[in-house]
This record gives sequence, C-alpha cells and structure tokens, in this order.
Amino acid sequence: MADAEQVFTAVYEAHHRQVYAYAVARVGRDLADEVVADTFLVAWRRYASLPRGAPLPWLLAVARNVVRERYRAEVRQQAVAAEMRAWIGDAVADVADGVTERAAVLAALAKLSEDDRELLTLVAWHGLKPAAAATVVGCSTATYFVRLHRARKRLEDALAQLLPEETFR
Amino acid sequence: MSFDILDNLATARPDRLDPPGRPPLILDSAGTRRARPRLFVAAGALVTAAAGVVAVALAVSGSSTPAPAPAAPEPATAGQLLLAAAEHSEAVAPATGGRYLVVGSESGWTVPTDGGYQVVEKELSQYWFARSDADKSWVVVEPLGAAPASAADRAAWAAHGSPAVVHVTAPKPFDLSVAAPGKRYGNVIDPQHLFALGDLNVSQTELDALPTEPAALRNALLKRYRGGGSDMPTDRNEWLFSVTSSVLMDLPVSRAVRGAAYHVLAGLPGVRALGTVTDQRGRSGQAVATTERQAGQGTFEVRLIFDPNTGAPLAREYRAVAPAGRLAWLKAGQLSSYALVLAPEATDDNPPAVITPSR
Repeated sequence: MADAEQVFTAVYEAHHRQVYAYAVARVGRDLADEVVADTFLVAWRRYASLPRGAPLPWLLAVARNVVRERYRAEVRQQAVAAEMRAWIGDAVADVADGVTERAAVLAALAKLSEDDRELLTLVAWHGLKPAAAATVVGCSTATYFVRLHRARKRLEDALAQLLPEETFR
Repeated sequence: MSFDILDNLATARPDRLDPPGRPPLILDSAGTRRARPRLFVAAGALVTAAAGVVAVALAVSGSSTPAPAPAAPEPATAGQLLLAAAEHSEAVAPATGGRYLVVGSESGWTVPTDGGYQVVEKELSQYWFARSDADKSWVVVEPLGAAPASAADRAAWAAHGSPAVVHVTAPKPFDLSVAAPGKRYGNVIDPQHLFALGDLNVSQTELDALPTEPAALRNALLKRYRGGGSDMPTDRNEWLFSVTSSVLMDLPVSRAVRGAAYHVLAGLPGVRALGTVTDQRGRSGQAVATTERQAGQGTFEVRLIFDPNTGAPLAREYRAVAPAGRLAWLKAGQLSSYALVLAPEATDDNPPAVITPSR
C-alpha cells in the first residue's frame, strides 16, 4: 500500500490547479490561494475518505464548503465581482478573434447568480462531466441536468440583452 | 450553423483561472479535454449515473428484429462469439430515408428508497438526426418513472401502500415518481460536436476515419488513452474494453468499424462468455462480460449483450461485484444500471414537443 503522504502529494500535484481555478471562479484570485490551502488541509485530515481514483469532484465539493464557510456572502460577491471585472477587462484587451463574444459572454455570466455561474462553469471551465458536477453541488444528476438547462437559458437571455441578435445567428 | 452557449463560455475561460507562473493546464484548455457534449451527456449521464459511467447510448446501426436464439452449436468462447458478431455485422441494411434518423436508448439504474426496498429509475433518450440542413437535430430525454427492482422489492413497495412517489435515499435524496411524468426534455444538438470516445470529444469526421482493421482500430483507440480516471477505468485493458464497447453501442460508426470493434474485444484478456441471456426488455442475445474497477465505487461486472447472428448490439449492464462508496448499498450480483440500444428508425415525423432551455 502506498504511503499516505505520497498519495496525498500525488493528488495535490494532479489537482491543485483545478482547485485553484474553481476557487478563482468563486472568490477571485486574491482569496484563491487560501481556499486551495484550506481545501487540501481538509483533504489531508479526511484522507481516509479521499477517493483514490477520481478525487477531483470530492476536492471541489470540499472547496465549495470552504468557500461558503470561510467567507460571508457579501465578501464572496464583492471579491468575485472584482474578479469578473478583471476577466472582462482582459477579454476586451485581447486582440484575438471573437473578442466581442468572449467579453460579452463573460459580462452575461457576471449577471447571473452565484449558483448559476457555478453550474455552468463546472462544466465549461473545470471540465467536469455532469455526473461529477452533480457530486460537487450535491444534487442528483437528474436534478443537475434540469438546473443546468435553466442556468443555460438565463445565460442566453443575459447574453441576448447585451448583444444585437445578428451577432450570433 | 448551431450555437452552443456552453461552447461559447468554454472559449471565454479566463486565463486568470490558472495559477500565476505556471503553464495553463492542458486539461483545462477549452476544447482540448472538456466535458463530453454537455446537455446530451447530461442526458446520457442519467443513463448510467448509478454506475458512474457516462454513456450516451446510441447506435445508428443494428437490426430491429429481436434476436433469434443463436443457431446451434453455440460458439463456446467469448472470442468466438464476438468474432461471429463481427462476421455478421455487415449483413444488415442500415435505416435510410426519411427526414430524421431516430436512434434511441432506454436506460435504468437501481436506487434505494427510505422504505427499505429498491426501485429502478428509467429513462428514454432519443437522438433525432436531421437528414437535411433544413431541419435541426435534437436530443429528447423522457423520464419513464420507476419500477420496483425485484419481486421482493415489489412486495415491499406494495406493503408500503404502493406509493406513487418514492423517496430515494442515495446517492442523493430526491422524490421519484413511479409513473412516467409524461415530460420530455430536449435541446437542439450539433451532431458534429456530440460524441465522445472515452473522455475526449470526437467529431463525426474522426469517427468516419476510424480504421476498419482490428489491430489498427485498437491502436487508434489506445492513442486516446491518457491513464483513464474520472468516470473511466484507469487499467489500460479495462479502459480499452469500455471505449471499444462504446464504439459498438454508443457511436455512429460504419458496420466495418463495428466489426473491427468486436475483433478488438475478442482480443482482450479477461473477457468471458456468459452464454444466452435476455436484456431488460426480454430480448435474447449472447453476453460477454468483463470486470471493471470504478474509482470510489468498487468493482462491477460489465455485461455486453449482442446478437451474434446480426452483429447488433442490444444492451450493456453493470452488476455489482464488490460495490463500495456511494454504491456500497448494492448487493453483490445485483443489477446497478443498464442501457438498451433501441433499433434506429427513419421517420418523416417532427420531433416531439419538448421542454427546452433555449428555444
């Protein structure tokens, strides 16, 4: 049996960037390192229940609790609002193709609720499959499917309000 | 041209999500490795959620006739059965014509309830592939309700007053209607961005380019092996079995590729013949099985049921061997989940009305 510390180190090496990305999307870059550190501290304490094969959904579920327990809602909102302004600023400054769409979709995302943003970005940015994303947010896959439908719809609506119709069709 | 808001969002992933001073994660870069086609996978994820295996059960080939009992003498080994299926997989004419090609699957997974009995939650998934650009392609998912898992479970359910809604307790609590709710969910899909091989997206063009020679197909599939993980097996042979069976059951490939896929399975160690079995719709076929270790969920028998006389894939079943983690409540030998491949149909009908998020 592998040494616990070795396994843990391997899990950290494999997944800390993904936990960091999730943390940035939830509380912004300034607080992300704290969230990553706390998440892996919890993971170490609860090593026995850390899934060995595919720990990412479990780690993100821990990170999600860390975010909620550590920062009050208004702190999270302010931090993530600043973060999203930075995203949009970067996208506008980017000279690549599709600049308008990138900035617009980020602006539309910024208009959604924290929950909707999480549902959408778990799949689109963090590379989770819906079953794994459902594990993170703590609902059944069936429920996740329905909630993702609704979040998508709200993102499309938000985007439609920001952009003239012909941009997309 | 279709537009997918989640693709758009994936493309807009901010660089600030990556830690400073380190190269961005290849896994995270949009389009390189991302969740399998989203809503459709969400639909598919329901299929085998209990087994933790995403399967967009889908096949555009196969016979619509129930499998006749295999002619005697029956082939003895899994390899022989699979090779018989390979040999016959080119014999059946594909469904052609019509405005749409409709391919469907029924799937189900066992869940525990607070009454101490278990039920099988069921669902129908259909893909409506438009034949012409004048129509759009759709995915349609219809919950089919639930049924007690066994005769004993049915008796226990009846003893509880045959409730119309049962309270599922794991993996997450929710209320489940026994009768089909009669709702359909759906979405427009882009067939070019629908499919996945393993956990990597694959285009129809790439599927069309898969080799028809068994060794070459095996190599082409193994090129996509990155160590597995997530909901894929990490063992190389288990991974190859999973992906190859997905080629057979879930993906629109040519009959020649399907034949080669049977050959690949026949060459894998640990694949055993189970003889004649019936699937969850009572269709008779031959089954081969392998054992798959699933991260955090223990060990399962994966059973592929097919008709060796036509090469048509019929079903995939997961049965508990040594269940663990969130599936630890399953008993050894018990059916955990299934997916039935339904015969593809050509139709001039319109897709059914659906509850849709965006249109």
